[in-house]
Amino acid sequence: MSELLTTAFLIAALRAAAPILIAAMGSVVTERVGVPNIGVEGMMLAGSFTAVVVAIEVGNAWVATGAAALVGTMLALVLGFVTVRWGADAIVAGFAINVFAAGFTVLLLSEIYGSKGSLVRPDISVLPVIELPVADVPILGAVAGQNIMVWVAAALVGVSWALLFQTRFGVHVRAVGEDPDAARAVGIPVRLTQYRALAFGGFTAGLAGAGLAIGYLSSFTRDMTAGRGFIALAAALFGGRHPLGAAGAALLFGAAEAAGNRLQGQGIPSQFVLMLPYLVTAVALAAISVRRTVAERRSLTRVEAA
Amino acid sequence: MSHATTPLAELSAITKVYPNGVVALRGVDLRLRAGEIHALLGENGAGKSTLVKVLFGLEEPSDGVVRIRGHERASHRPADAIAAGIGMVHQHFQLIPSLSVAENLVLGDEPTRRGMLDRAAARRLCIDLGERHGIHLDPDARVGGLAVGDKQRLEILKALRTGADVLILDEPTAVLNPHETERLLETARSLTMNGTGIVLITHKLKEVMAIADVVTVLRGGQIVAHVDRADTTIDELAVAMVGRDVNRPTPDRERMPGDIVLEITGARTSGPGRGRLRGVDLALRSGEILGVAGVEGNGQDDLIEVVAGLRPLAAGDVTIDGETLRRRSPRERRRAGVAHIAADRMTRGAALHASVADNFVADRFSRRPFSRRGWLRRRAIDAAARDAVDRFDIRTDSVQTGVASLSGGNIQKVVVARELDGVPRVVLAAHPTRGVDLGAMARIHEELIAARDRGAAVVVVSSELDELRQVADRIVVLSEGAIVASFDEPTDATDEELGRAMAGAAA
Repeated sequence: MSELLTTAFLIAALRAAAPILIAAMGSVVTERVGVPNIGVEGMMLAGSFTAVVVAIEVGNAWVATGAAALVGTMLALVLGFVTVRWGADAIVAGFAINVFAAGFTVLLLSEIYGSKGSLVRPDISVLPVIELPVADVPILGAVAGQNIMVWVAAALVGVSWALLFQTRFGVHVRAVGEDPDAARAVGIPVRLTQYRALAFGGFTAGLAGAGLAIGYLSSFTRDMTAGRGFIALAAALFGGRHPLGAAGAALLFGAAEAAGNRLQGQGIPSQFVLMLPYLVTAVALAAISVRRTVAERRSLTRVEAA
Repeated sequence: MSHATTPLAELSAITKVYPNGVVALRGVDLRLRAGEIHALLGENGAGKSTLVKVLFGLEEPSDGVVRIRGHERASHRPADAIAAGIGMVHQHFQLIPSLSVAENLVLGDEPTRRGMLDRAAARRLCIDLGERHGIHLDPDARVGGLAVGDKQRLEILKALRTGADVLILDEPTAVLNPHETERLLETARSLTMNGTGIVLITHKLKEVMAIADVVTVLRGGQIVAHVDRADTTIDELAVAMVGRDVNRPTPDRERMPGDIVLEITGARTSGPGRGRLRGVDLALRSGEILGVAGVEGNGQDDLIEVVAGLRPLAAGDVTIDGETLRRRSPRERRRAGVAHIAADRMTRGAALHASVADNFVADRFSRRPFSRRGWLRRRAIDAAARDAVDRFDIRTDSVQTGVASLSGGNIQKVVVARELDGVPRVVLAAHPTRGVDLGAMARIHEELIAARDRGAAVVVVSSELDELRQVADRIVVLSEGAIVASFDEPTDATDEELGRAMAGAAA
């Protein structure tokens, strides 16, 4: 078990956490604006597929990453169009996006590349590792060399925090999410704000998908996101819809995934090990609902006491 | 016409016909001058709200002219109205609870510096504007934690920030306690000193007499009275509003109450704050109405709820006819004859998305004659509901109409009709007439007195002292969860005496 607490494990945890964290930042914003983006899973998957295809066809990992983010954004705007504009149920519409992305990527995979389930090209362009100049610092030095996606994830935490709490757009997002009628009454463009928040959510989901496909791997596999989009959404909620909390939750879920991978070689049934990140997520979600119930009960008595 | 006498706002011969053919307004005139408080009176559905919506640009009149400072308005939408200096404070606050006072004040038009929010500027604006208009609020306080009165003052400040000198207040005091009401009226008065004109919609005639300069009374979409406040009386205005004499029911003081029905002994509840009960003893006889006065949040809710079975007792006991209710569920208590007119009809009193008929049988649909062998009998339910609609004069298209589309007063009548149907043993009425118009109020008072005369023990909680004096046979005052004063002759209890007791000074 001591193997769990090595720098190698820490690095593995960061790697596993990065895509979850990136998508979680977008989910924090979509949750705040009041349009839950269940489709984050499908947007992430579409991002992974796009990234691999563009990396193969164009041969540039940066272009591939941009294309993935663009596809994620476009899917999010589709979701916005049917929910914000036409009033479709956000859960059902988001679910439709997930089913669509899962099916369409497999269809294109077999149509374009004649593959039944995966697309592996060892020679494709991948995202680089960035070495921080802190090699001599203990602990930090050991994890200084990380894929750029880890640094992107770290930067996104700050960006999301500033966006939500230091800009007009952020105040509008929070106002619209809390009371759309009141927001409209003071002249905030409610729909535009919802579209923009969703676009940010889709952008991060596509980015996370790219990180998954061409950050560490150089392949696409059917359903390769394996619930990471949902876990990102869970991280956003577990983190109290706050960028910092969501980042912490994403690190926890990433650690669970890394731990699962480690334990696989230790004679523990693989089915149980594969379950671990989801189990941690389920426990976390149960924890927030308990916390919310307690808070509601407390605020109820406070109101009565006022 | 000299400039000084040009009205700030003038509505001439406004008619509003809705697409479904309902005529909401019929040739109504309204003239608001600078520094004037113009009270707009009328029952629910009389057209007051439609009229101010026309002024604020939320409704387009079918006919008639809107003039602001003498200029006729061709297009008049809310954005135009705001630009022309009209501000409206809606009944439902349009505030974001998680944001601060200053953030709410500037919401939608936030000052920024280099693309980032300029919080310091927002705070400054909040303080300066408050200074200028005498509305002092902590700019950093979270709006969710503000008292209702402060939320309302913030709404007024928001309107003033857009440069409004015509202010529309839509039933501003309906949700305020007496102290907050006093403060609001003071604020309104001081605003008129700076030349602001105020349109005040209210049901409360006392407020009108205290503050208005001019009064317009609407009934059925037409003006039935337009007078200077100095030339009229409360009774005159009441008659104009309702169209008939509101016969104020007076309790029959000769009646001797019967045996003790409801007994509360040493009741305590747990929880933080002043709202918990700290040892209450009460005995209520059959055929008696007990009025409970107090500043809101001093144990009234808990008192009602421990009897209704919605809140557990930490200590003490509640009995009906000598039998303890401690282990009885709310449903069992209802069967034992406890009726509960909940303080919040929107969340607890009525199921808003259910029909009038379903609401009427909400607590008895599983019993005869409303169901048999597990099957609902719609015909019996509808017949009983239609009967109640007739008896209580509930204004609804049919008993199948969703309660949500009824006016507040009519929703309350649905609740009262259900609760006072049959022969209740104990009636718990929490703020039974809050936000309802005069006609409905008189009706509800009559029904409470009728329930008493059928032998019920009635508890009425209210923040309106006049209401308590009018219906109660006895008044107790709750302060910090304890009974601090008791008045056996309600009509002799003065506002000062009651107010002193409510403030916690034991009589």
